[in-house]
Amino acid sequence: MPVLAYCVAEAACEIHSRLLAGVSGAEIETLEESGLRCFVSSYPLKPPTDPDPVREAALDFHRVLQTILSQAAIIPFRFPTILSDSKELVNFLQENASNYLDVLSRLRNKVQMEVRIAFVDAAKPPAEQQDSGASYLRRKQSRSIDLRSLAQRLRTAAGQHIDWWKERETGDGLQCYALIDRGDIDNCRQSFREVSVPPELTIRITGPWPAGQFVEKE
Amino acid sequence: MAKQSPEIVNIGSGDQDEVSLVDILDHVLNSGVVIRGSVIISVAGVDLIYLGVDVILSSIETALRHIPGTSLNSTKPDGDAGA
Repeated sequence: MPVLAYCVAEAACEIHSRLLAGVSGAEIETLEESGLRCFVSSYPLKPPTDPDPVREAALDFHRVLQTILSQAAIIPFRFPTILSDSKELVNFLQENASNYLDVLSRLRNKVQMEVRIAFVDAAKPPAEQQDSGASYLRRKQSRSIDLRSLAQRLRTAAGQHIDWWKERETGDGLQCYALIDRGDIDNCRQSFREVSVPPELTIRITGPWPAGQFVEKE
Repeated sequence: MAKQSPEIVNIGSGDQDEVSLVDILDHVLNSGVVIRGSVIISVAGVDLIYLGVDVILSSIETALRHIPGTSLNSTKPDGDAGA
């Protein structure tokens, strides 16, 4: 029977998932292989009742991840990851066990906080369409400097809590990722909040999330 | 111990709940390990569409709406994964 895979954790971790409902109310089951524990539910799913089944399924998936994340470090699968049967998943875990165990050990007590920085006027139609190419590039460079400057101040403000920091430009701003200890979530969030944000910029602080941006070593 | 649900803090912008939903959907759909493989969407036992798993996201809505009439059957993954 096809299975929907949620995430992988260390098999040695004590994780309570027996009463956890998965996507469409499916029972969450665990599969252990090579020191890893994988959380899955059966597929196909029951017929959806929600008028927006994809959104509801994604939210169910998210709830499962967050419940497990609250107990242990996880490597999430992208939704939806469906395998034809448990054997395929076992084969996958066997092939990747060494790497995943290393990652999970490294991220054992870590979570990921995120800050999205954007311009308040990002949603408005771009006025620079009538600009020359040079002025467009100057404006873009200026905005990038503003974004990076605020990111640096956020990083500095929470620096004592941050183990690793990454930034990624998005279409309308800058996405920042901070790897922190589980015990520092509130302190880190408070440090971000205390940073003065220029009126032309907005920030959105979210987390804790699984430390997905820090799975790969640099 | 991490809190069970991510908290959203907006500074200088609007609707908190809507932002929260967008963040959650963005994470589950765009973050996480990808098992490279392939899927075949079939209806009533007839294979209709062959897809690489990276593009399955565009088809899941259709699949879910037609369950149990539609099924997603994956073929053997190649074991390559990335985050």
